[in-house]
Amino acid sequence: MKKWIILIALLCTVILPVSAVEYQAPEAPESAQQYMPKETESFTDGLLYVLKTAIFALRPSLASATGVCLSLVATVLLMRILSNISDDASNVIQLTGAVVIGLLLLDPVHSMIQLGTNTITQMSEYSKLLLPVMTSAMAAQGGITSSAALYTGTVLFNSVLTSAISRLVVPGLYVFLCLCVAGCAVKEEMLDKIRDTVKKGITWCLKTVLYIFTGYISITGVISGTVDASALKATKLTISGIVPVIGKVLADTSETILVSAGIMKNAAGVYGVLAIIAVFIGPFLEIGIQYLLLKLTGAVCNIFGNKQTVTLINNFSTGMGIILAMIGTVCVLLLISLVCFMKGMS
Amino acid sequence: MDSIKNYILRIVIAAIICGVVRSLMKEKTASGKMVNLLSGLLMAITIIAPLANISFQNITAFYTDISVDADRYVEDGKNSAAQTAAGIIKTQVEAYILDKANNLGLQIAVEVELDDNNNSVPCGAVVTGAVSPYAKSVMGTYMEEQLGIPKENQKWN
Repeated sequence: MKKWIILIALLCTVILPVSAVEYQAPEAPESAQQYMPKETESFTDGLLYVLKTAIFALRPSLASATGVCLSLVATVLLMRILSNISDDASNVIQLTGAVVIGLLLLDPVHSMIQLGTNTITQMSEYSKLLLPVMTSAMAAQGGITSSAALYTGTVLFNSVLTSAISRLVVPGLYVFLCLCVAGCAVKEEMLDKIRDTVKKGITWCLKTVLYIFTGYISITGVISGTVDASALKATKLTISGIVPVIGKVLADTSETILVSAGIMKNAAGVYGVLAIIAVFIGPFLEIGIQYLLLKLTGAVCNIFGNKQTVTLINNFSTGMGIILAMIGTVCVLLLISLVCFMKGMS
Repeated sequence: MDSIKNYILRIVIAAIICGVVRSLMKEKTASGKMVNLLSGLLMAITIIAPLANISFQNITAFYTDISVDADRYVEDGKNSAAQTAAGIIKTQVEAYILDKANNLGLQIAVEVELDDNNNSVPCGAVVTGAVSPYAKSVMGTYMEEQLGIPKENQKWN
């Protein structure tokens, strides 16, 4: 009987560690809850569920976007008919047409910009809750230097990027759209040049932050990873020098902690990645569908519309593309960081 | 939102001024070229003006705050792992002592103390129960040699 009790007591020491170190990802934001799978153990299944749910939820916005595109086609067609009737009033028709197209597209583009900025805010806010969990879990797993470097880098670059988006990219996007309408209305070459410069500036800003972040992650990953690996090796050597039985106990416990922290960290990481994708996917598909529909409208209008009008529609679709790039950059930055946290010391 | 409106307004005003001035000048003359250059400069300055408001002191302070936060989260992780490890080690060492006592036919209770500063290594033990001098000697040697608990830190009640 005594042996059974001792055996059970010894078994308990083996069972305890697995549930001992607990790190849980914060719950996904409310807007992402509808896309989140109930089980997040399998990343592939979770991702498929998120994508499937997001695609099925697309229908309502598809209908309103189609309505705007049909209005655009009708406007361009009307401009062509009026131009054919009266050649003298072509400038007036062009000016009026540009204003009408601008007004038609201003509301959907403005709401898409709002949607994009809200999505970025939600992703950033969620990352502020998730990153401390991942940092602590990685530190518990032995990645002390790596976790601090990753946390610092991610928060810093995420803040720089979100500030750049709210203070430079979004105002720049509005300027770009205003210049597109003005350029189409008055056919001024200088406006077109400024428009192109603004567009280049915006894309350069987004690309540069992402490139620098990737470079930072690569370099600090190698350096701090080596430091942590050396520290772990030194700890193991110290433990192995301690008296026999306790040395084995310490080594086993250390290994158990590392494994259990790793399991918890990866589970939190998978949930976090799915939560960020769930926040991102709905707005991305909604803006993406508007972008594609505007491209399609531009292609259709190209058959009968004049060059400036078609360019205006294409430029608005480029504007949608910039919104996609904005939320895509923030999402990619956070995903890269989370993958690095998950890869960490494993 | 107000700052965005002001920014756009400044650009629009600058564009209008440039457009008006350029339309008044003949492009091919020297003064026309100069006006072109100056209007381009004015537009460029208006567009990149918000960059001048970036304060590097704020960035440095922000970076320091992030580093402090990172250290705090790392410390949380380390402490959590250390506490968990301490719990496991304590339970396991006590189980080893009880197992040894069981082999000697003893019925005891044991409480192991850990050294928090040295990887949670056991540093003391309180043994409660009836133990003969021979068993005490065997148990004491076992705890010292195998578990690293010095005899002076072994308390027998």
